[in-house]
Amino acid sequence: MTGTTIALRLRDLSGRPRAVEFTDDGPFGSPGSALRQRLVSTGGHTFVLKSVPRDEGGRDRHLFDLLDNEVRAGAHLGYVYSRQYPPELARLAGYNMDVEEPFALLHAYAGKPVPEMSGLDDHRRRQVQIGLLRALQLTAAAGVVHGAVTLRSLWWTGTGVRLVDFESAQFAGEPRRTAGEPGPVDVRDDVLLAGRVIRQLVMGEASTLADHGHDPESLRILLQDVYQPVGHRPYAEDLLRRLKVPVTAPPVTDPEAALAEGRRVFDGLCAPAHPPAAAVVGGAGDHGIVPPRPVPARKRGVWRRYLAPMLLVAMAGRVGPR
Amino acid sequence: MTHVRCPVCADEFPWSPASTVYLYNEENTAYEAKDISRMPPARQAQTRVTGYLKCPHPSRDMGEHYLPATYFDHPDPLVVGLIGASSAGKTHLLTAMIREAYRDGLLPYDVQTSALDFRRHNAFQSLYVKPLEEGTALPGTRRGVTEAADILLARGPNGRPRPITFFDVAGEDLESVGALNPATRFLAAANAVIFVHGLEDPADPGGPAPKDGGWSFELAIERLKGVPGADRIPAAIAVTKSDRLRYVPPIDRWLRHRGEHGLNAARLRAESRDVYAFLHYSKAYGSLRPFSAFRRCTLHFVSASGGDAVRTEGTSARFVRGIHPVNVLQPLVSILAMSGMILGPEAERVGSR
Amino acid sequence: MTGPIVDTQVNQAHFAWRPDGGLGLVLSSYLDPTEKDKWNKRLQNSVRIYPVPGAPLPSAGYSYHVFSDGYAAWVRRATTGVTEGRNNSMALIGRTEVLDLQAAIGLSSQGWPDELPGNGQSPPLSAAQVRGAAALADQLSRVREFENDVACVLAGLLPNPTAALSVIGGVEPERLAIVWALHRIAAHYLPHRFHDRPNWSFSTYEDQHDTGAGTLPGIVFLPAPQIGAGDIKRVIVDLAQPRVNQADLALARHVVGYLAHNRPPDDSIVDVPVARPRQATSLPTVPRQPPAAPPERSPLADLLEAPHVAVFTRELRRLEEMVVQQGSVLHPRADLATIDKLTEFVEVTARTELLKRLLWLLYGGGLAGELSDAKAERHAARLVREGQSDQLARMLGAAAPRGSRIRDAAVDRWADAGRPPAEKAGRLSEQLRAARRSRWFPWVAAGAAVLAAAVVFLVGYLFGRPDNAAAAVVATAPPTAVVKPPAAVVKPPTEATQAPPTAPDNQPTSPDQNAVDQPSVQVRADQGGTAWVFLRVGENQFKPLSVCQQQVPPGNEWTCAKLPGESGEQVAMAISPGTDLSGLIGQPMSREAGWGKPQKIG
Repeated sequence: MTGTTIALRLRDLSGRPRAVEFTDDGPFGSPGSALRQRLVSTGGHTFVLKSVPRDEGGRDRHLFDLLDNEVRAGAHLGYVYSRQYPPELARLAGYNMDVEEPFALLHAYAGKPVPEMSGLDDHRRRQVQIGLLRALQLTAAAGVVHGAVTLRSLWWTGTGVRLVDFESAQFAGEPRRTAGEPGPVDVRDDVLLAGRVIRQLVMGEASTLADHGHDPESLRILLQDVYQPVGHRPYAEDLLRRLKVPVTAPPVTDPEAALAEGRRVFDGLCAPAHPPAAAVVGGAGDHGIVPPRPVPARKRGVWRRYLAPMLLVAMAGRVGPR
Repeated sequence: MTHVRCPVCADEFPWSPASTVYLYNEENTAYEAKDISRMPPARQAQTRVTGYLKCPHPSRDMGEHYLPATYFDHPDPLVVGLIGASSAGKTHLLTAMIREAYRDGLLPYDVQTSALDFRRHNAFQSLYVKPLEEGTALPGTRRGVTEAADILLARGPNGRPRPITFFDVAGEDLESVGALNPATRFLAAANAVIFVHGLEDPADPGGPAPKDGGWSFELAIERLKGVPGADRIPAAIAVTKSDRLRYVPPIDRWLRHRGEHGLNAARLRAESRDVYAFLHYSKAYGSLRPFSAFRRCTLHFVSASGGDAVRTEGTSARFVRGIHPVNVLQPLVSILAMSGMILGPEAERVGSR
Repeated sequence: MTGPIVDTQVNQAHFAWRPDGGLGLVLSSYLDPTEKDKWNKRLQNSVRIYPVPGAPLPSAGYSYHVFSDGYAAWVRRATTGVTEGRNNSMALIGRTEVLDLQAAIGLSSQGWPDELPGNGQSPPLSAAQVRGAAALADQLSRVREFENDVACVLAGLLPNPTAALSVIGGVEPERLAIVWALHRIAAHYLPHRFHDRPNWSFSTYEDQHDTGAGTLPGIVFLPAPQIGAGDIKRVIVDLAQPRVNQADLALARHVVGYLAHNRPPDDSIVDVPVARPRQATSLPTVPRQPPAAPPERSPLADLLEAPHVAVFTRELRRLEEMVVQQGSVLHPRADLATIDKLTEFVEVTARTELLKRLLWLLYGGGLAGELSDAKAERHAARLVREGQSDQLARMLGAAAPRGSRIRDAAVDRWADAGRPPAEKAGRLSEQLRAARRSRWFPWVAAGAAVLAAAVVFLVGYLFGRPDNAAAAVVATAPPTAVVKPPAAVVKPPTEATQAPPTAPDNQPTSPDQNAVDQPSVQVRADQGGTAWVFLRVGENQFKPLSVCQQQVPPGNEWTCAKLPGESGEQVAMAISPGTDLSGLIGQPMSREAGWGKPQKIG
């Protein structure tokens, strides 16, 4: 209920547990989300609390997967952009997936959903296109595929665009969840969806693929090959270049950089200084049952060893005194 | 006549199939001796399958104990001990592991499992597996446990059955330096070890991280060293409660990895490398000791429950979203590969340097 | 005149779980760390409370423990704490004169906090505070409420009043009442019958009560039968289905009725002691009189029981230190049988163990696997052929794969199968045997024979008539020639025959000069089987000494000769195929199924 205090135990992005008290600031909605959302605040900061209520989760287990996708993508983007988080992307602050009503906590989105914007002129339209493509350049650099890029998952902050609602997100290279294009998930899957959004911005709500023939040339040039199979599709930064926008490298950091030293130590310990240990049956060494040993084979006659000497002696005897 | 070692008391003695089998009488709550020498072979075999043998226990420094009557029929028994600090998660891991094994989790590796001691197995199911499946967090292990938790009979691709006995004792006993502690006796008989390092949260949210709990590892390694050939014992280090960091790299990759069926030594090595690096980064040097102490050792990220338990009332805690074990069989699979139960060139590479 | 000072202080001890150290004593009123350690160890197995599937946890578990040094502990196990099985608990510890059963019951009836004292203080209690609790111990109203269950429990205990008791089922409020009632009945109504019950320790909640549960109080309550229980050496009364003797139940109801209505005992209550049952399920007794001195344990007992060299060495060192300290040696306390056993350990068991360990060092843990490596095989073969130790060579030979050169080396080492190990051979015969094993020995022997012949010839030629020249000495037949024994009577494998006396021209078959003219028997074994000479060490206990000699041509007939230098009865037995005792020489074993009957040799 609005105005009440909620005590939440959650984990931050590094996985450390925190206990925080929030004030409930009322319901919240973003058109691209299937989860329940409320606004909460603490210490002067406002957050979006996305959760799966107990009754809804009981009816539809898939809601937990959506929340998991949101957290997973948000956490990964948080590590990759730990140095400087881009405003073009929703930002995860914390989560708790182990309670009866699991939740994710995201920094509040300023502004309004793009579909609620009215009177989009060319300039604003271009700003939205550029913002969207920049957001996808950033997600692609982090290896994250949003998976549900539509106008409903875009927010206009007043100065730019923010891509939100990563509830269908995957990582590039993972198997596809739904049938569609062959092969694993690719960052250019989002480019196809972005192409549709861009076209929709230009051609209006009623545009369909069948209308390509009537697309303005500038649109056709911008979206060239976007509808091709993923292997032939351009990347988001290619489209930015087509829009004559300077493309800068995203400020990514390697989330596993801190493990380099440990991996080096491991590799050093595993250097092939010794031949592999001889296989010990059962690895039991001195333990376990001592098997019965077979009886030694019959010994060959040792008499053969004495044959020649015996002959020598016999000869000596014959040569000896008679 | 063969020489065998009891997994409970670690005594060695000559043994041959006995004409006396002990059957547990539920009404009298006691083991009763039964002479089976006059039974036809089929009945003898049947009786032995559900019967017990009394360990002669030559050293006479523990109470009476019994093993399944067919235990010594099978050569090369594997005795697996779980080592770790109190609340590291040994019991949850063992329960999830045995649960998965009985659900044919080892079939992709051509290993079939069945119970060797039906009473013990039933008790383990009732006291551990079923409550865990129902979402109940398992209680901390009591001190002074000397009996095995469960005994499986595993059949590998060559068809040769092999008993696998699991020991799960209290962390307090493993961290006790007392020489007379009978609960650590199993270390003298163990020929495979799983070291359990739990990812612990601070006692207070936001507080400092708990200290490295490698003392139990250190003591166990020193105790094992007393046995000739101990460095050849197959070992695995399992980082439990990995679900607490399931979104943190590289743990997120390994918990979500749904690998191919069958053994993949390269994958196991890659995971071991990342676990090693993670523990190294976390300054958990004590928990990395086994990697240097044993010639063949693998490391794994595991989660026995898939999530944290939530306190309900008193000391009760529940996994409110049910349990979703992840990777729990990998330490056992590695050990089976390193001990010759799983065969092939991939198995020979598991855990080797 | 002053009386003895009685320690009336009652100490507190609190147990809880900590990340470093687990569940243990975290707070107490003890100042002495040794006392803290002592009570931590004494109570560490009594402070946890575990759930039982299908049964609710009680609000708390209460127990009362009595120790042989006159101290008692009352423990309250809470159901708060970190997790189940890692609960908080508190204990009060004092002399039994102060902390008696009544006090324990009274303390269990009060309310107590579940959390640890917050201010870090845990002062001791006074005797008065604890005795004040004893005044609250009366359970009469509860006894009336649960009269039937009290009678059932009493009926179960009557045939065996000193036994440890487990009560299964029932409800939480009646448990203290049952304990109180039993004690009161024992004290006032049936004192003769319960005279020998040593103490009244109890626990109102346990989840296990078999022998694996360790030392439990004399009376315990379980909410349900233990799943997967082992041996339970206690009287069990299951209140859901009590199986008690009807006569005992009648008496119990009568007595409990008297108690419930506060009637003093009269002649209608027959109080006679009962004989101890055959299967003792009695509590360990805290003796009322000084016990008789136990039989003195020999100082060599631990040495005798040592199963391994390491233990034996450790015990030896301990005894050496003892002898030095006490200045007295041990021969007055060591009889011949003991010394025989100890020397047998040194000469046989230890030797085998050490040789096994040496082999492990040389060839690794899995001998059969390692010996298939070519280098290892060659090394081992040389060792078998030329090494000094017969036993080591035999162990290697037995471990080697079929067809390996190690087996050939073993053949080369011995001309015939299974010569006894010359454990007690003289130095000269050892050297001679060693020399004989050399491959050059036949040439050396032949050369020596020729030289001897030449010398004799020269002596004869120089100093005697040609016709008196000593005949050339014909070299004796090689000592290892296989000799065909006299025709043996064919008998089934379970019997053996005394071999007829050896013919004069039969040469001894063993190169060991001490083996000449030893009695022997003939044994018939199964196809592929062998025959061995054993030393009988018990009615059905034997120690293998040596494999017998297979007759020529090879078949199922074996000649088993008595081994010199071995005291005791030697017997021969046929051994079933596939059994090899080479690695078990000198180790006691039973006769196995499929073996022939033992036949005395000589």
